[in-house]
Amino acid sequence: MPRRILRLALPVGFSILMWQISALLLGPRLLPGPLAVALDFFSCLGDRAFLKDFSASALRAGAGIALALAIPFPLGLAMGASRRLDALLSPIVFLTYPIPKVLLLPILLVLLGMGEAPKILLVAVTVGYQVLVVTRDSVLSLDPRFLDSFQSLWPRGREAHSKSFRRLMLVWHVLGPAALPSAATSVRLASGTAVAVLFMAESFATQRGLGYVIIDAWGLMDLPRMFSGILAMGLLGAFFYSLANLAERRLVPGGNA
Amino acid sequence: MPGAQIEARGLAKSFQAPVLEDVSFQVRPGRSLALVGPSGCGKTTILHILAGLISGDSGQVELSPKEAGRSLVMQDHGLFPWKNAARNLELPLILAGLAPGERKGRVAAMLQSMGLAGLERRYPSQMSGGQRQRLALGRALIGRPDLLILDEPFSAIDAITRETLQELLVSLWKGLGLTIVLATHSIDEAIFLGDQVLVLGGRPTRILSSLDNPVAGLDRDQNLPAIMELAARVRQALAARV
Ligand SMILES: Nc1ncnc2c1ncn2[C@@H]1O[C@H](COP(=O)(O)OP(=O)(O)O)[C@@H](O)[C@H]1O
Ligand SMILES: [Mg+2]
Repeated sequence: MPRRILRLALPVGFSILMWQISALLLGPRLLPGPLAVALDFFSCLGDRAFLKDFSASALRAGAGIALALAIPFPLGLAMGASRRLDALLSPIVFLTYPIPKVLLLPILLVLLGMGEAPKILLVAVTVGYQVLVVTRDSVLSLDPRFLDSFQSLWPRGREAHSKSFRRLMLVWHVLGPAALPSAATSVRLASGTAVAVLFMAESFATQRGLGYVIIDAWGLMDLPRMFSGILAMGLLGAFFYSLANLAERRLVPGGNA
Repeated sequence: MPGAQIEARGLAKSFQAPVLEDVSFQVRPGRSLALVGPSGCGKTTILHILAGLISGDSGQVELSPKEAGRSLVMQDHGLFPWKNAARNLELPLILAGLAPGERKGRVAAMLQSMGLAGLERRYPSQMSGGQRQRLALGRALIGRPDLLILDEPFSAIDAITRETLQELLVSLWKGLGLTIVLATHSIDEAIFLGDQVLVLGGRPTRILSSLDNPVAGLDRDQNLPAIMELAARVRQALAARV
């Protein structure tokens, strides 16, 4: 434990030191020092308005990520399991995959207005594309041994049972659990981008959220507050990163041997 | 309903190249057949045809009774790493449409009789090689098959554990009256477990020799004359190929 703390404390301490030195060189009008930001951040923690902004962002990111699992994950499994569906959808997916999803923001704003929906949806689309592609690929690259194993467990005399029931069982017992860890990995890797697009969405299309706090403080040249907002958004990203990391490890008990 | 009869006639199979050519054999109910041959000779292919995972290019396999249950212990066990021991055991029962209450009872009983009681929550990666193999055996038996097919079940296991597991298999075989087909590349194992030993080889693979083995499951003393003679005949058959 002390070793782990030390390993974390050293780089953090070094970064704060570099920050302090830069702040001294640039002066507080350009770069507030770590102490000023820390003080402001702690005052934010007791500030109901700031907490509301924080929870607004957290809810948007959380809902977006949840949505990015709820639909793309099953869809990715279905594409992996069904050649026909894959033939239909994968050209569309791979054509649109390289497009930066943040470009959808103005379109979503026009279509859905200024409420929560476009922000949540933008996060969901950003993360969901990753989840979809990774899930599909991990089904397609599944060790065929597992398919044989599943097939060998199918009782004789039930071959006639409905094909869709059989496919459902395959997805539920084999494909789904096999693909879940990679889906969690893709959420982990996309969590930074998720917060980034959320910042974009909140920076002009709303009066609530950490993105708004940052942009607002920037307009007022309230640099400590701006940094508090940035810190809070960073923590939000780190939170979802660790959450996905935890899920990933729990989903692969003792390693996927 | 113990034991199924197998009648395999003229099995042939090609992948990129011809693998099997005209493989025929018969196994009577409650008897065991050991396929022995070098790596890559087509043992797994034959077993997968028997298990119904693939079909041969020609020839046929007849099981009687027709609805006889069969199950396969795959090479490298084929357990699902994301399911713990109990859930691996339960899956065949779920697929067979059994009610949860009955599944629970049968899983607990199978854990018990495989010597895995207390390990139900372990994942395969958290078990020893021998425990994994017991689990794979239990998963194959839990659906109460008439025919048990085993693909090199004990080849990745240390010699001492292997002997224990071989004894376990013999007691299950005799106790349940199963028909068994197993593949192995160990001559000793083939002689200990097979009433009948099929020696495979050649290119494409055919049956080089079919030997009746009166001492299967009885003794593993390699100095017994009967066992020495059989082993010598298997070696001869393997050496005489081409
Ligand atoms: N699905 C497959 N596709 C192509 N070749 C295969 C396939 N399965 C087996 N083979 C080939 O068939 C031969 C026999 O394989 P196998 O039955 O696994 O042998 P064994 O179990 O005796 O080691 C090998 O040469 C192998 O490469
Ligand atoms: Mg093999």
